[in-house]
Amino acid sequence: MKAKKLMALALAAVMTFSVTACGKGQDTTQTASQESGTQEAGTEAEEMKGSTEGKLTVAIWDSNQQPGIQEILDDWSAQSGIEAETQVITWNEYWTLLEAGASGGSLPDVFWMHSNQSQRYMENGLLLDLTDKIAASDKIDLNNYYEDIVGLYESEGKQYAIPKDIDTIALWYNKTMFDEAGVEYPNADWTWEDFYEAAKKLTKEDGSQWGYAINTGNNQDSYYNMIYDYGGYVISEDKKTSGYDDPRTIEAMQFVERMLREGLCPDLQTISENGCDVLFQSGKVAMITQGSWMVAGFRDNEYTHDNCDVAVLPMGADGTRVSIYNGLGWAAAANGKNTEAAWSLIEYLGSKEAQLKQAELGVTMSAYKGTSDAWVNSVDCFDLKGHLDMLDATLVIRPYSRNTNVWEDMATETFKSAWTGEMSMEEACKQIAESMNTALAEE
Amino acid sequence: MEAKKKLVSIIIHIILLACSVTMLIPFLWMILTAFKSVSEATSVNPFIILPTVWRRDAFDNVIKNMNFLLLYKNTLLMIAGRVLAAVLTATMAGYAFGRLHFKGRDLMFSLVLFQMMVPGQIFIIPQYLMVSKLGILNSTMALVFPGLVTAFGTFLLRQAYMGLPKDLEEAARLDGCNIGQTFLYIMAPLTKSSMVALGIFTTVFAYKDLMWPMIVNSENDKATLASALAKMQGQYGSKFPELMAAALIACIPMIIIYLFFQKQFIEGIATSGGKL
Repeated sequence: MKAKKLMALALAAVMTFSVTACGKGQDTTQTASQESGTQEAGTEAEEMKGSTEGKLTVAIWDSNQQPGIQEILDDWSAQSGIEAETQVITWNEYWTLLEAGASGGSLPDVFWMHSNQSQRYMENGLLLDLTDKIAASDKIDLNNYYEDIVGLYESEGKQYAIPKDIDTIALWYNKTMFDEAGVEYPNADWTWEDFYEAAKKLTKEDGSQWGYAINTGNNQDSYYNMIYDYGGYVISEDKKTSGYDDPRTIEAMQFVERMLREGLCPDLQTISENGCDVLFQSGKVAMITQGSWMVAGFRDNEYTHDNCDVAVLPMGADGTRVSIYNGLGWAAAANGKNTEAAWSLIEYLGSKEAQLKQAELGVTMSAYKGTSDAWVNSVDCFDLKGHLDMLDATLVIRPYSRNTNVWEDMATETFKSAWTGEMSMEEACKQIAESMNTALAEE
Repeated sequence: MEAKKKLVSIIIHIILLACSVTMLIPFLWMILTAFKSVSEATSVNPFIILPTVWRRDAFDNVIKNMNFLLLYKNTLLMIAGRVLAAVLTATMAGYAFGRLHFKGRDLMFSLVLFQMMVPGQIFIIPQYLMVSKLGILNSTMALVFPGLVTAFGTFLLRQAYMGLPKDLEEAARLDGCNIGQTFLYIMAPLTKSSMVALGIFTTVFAYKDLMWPMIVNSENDKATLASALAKMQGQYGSKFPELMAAALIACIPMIIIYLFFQKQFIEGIATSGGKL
C-alpha cells in the first residue's frame, strides 16, 4: 500500500514537472507581456535573442583538444564580438550528425573535416566554397601550409577547408626498459635493422615483455611508414594501381612478419584485445610507433609520463626516413545561416596567430609551416623533438583515393591472416594488390 | 530428509551468490576505477584490483568540469516528458486497438507492430529532420520528441485491455457511459499496473538513450547525462578514472529510483515479459 502511495506521488511529481517544462517557452512571453517593464523579463528576452542569432557552433570530435580550441575561439570572439562555442561529439555520432545535418540543412557553423570523408562532402556541395574568399584574404595564403593537406580538401580546383593541423609518426620508447637491458636509446642514426636488434634484446623469453607492438588496426602509424622507408608504395601517384605487389613493399611487410614470427611482437590476439598503446602504457612493450595525437594521452598517464620518451622513426637502409602524415581541415556549411561569420572564424583559425597559439597550447602541431616549434615546449616530460623532427623527414600524405575505405578495410582484413601466420606475407600482399586494383578500377 | 533439504538450499544459495557477485563486479569495477590513477586503470595486469592510493582527484575534476545539476535537470525533464507522453498516448491507443471495433483496425495495428520490428536507428535521420524543421533543436522538446508515441507501449497496453472481462464494459454502457467515460472511469484505472510498467521501461530507456540526445542536443548545456558522459571519451585514449567517477555520479538517480520502485520493476518485467 505504501509503495502505491509513493508511486502515485512520484507520478504526480513527474506530471507537474513535464507540464512546466512544456509550457516554459510560452510562459516567458506571457510574463514578458503581463509584467512588461520588469527587468528580469527584459534580460531573458535579450539572452534568447543572443543565443539564436549570434553564437557560432563549432563541432569537433576530440575532447582532449577542446580546452585549447575554446581558448582560441575566445580570442576570436574578443576581436569579432561574436560568441563561438565548441561542441564535442564522439567520432561515430559526429558523422551521423553531419549526415543528418547535411540532409536537413542544419550543419554546425564551423566543423572539422577528415580526409576519409572530405571527398563525399565536397562533391555534394555541402561545404562552403572558400576559393574566392581565400583569394581576397590577406591572412590566408595556401602556400603557407603543407601542400598535401591543402590538397586533401580541394576538389575540381575549389578549396573547401583550411588546414588545421598536421600529425607525424615517431618512435615512442620505454627508457626504463632500455636501461635495464643495457640498450642505447633510439637515435637519428637508427635503421630498421638497428630497431630490430634492439627489439630482440628488449624481448623477454618468459613473455612478460616484448620489444615492439605493431598497431595492426592503424596503417598510418605502423607499417605504412616501413613500406615507404623501404622504397615501396601503397598507391600509385595517379591513384590507379596498388603498390602492394611491389617487391620493396613486400620486403617491408616481410620485415614486420619476421618480428612477429620471432616473437618480438605480441601476437595479433594480444594486440587487438589490449591495443598497442595500452600495452605500452602498462609497461608490456618497450617500443611502439605512434602518432603525435597520442601525446596528451601519454602525458596524462603517470607510467608513460615517468618512464617513456620519443625519438624519430628509424630509417630505411638507404637513409630514407618517411613519416606518413595527415591533417584535419576547418570547414563551414555551404547553407549555413551565418557564412560570413563562419568564414571570418575559419580565416582566424587558419591565420599564423591562431596556428601558433594552437601549437603553444599543445593542442596539436599546426598545419601552418614553421609554427609548430612552440609545440615542443608544451609538454615537459617528453622530448617532443622526435615528432617535430619528423616534419623534416620525407613527408608522405596518408595514401588515399576516392573511396579509400573500400581497399583500406579489405587490406586490414586480409593482413589478419598474415599476422596470425595462416598465410605468408608475400601471398597476402599479392592478394591485396589484386583486389585493390579491382577496387581502384571501379572508382 | 531435513538434512537433504538443507543441503539443496545451501547449494542454491551458493549458485545465487555467485550470480549476484558476477552482476556486481562491473559496478565494483566502476567504483574502484574511479579512485585509481590513469595508469592503474589501464594496466594490463588484471590483478591490480584495489587502487594503491585512494585518490579523489577524478571526482574533483569531473565536478569542476561538468555541471551535474544541469545534466540531472535535462535528463529528468526528458524522462518526465517521455513517461507522460508514452503513458498518455499508449493507454488511449491501446484501448482503441484492444477494445474498439473500427474499420482498418488490424491493418493499423500491424503497422504499429511493424515499427517494433525494425531497428530504431533507421528512424534517427528522419526524426532529426522533423525536429530540425520544427526548429526545436537543442531543447527539452527535442529530447522528448521520439518518445511521444511508443509502439511497444501501445502493444503492452493493448494486451492489458484485451485481458479485461467484457462484462465491465457492458455494465458501464448499461449505466449510460459513453466510450470516453467507459475508458476514463472504468477501463483505464484497471490497467494501472501496466501503465506503471510502461513508465518504468520508458524511464530506463530514456535514461540510457545515447545517440539521440547526442545528435539533437549537441550544445553542451542541453546535454543529458548519457551524452555528456560519452563526450568525455577522447578520440585517442580517455581518462578512465574521471569517466568512471562521472558515471558513478550519473548512476545515483537511477539507483534511487530503483530502490523506491524495486517491486514495480520486477513486476513490470514479469507482466510484460520484456527485458530492460
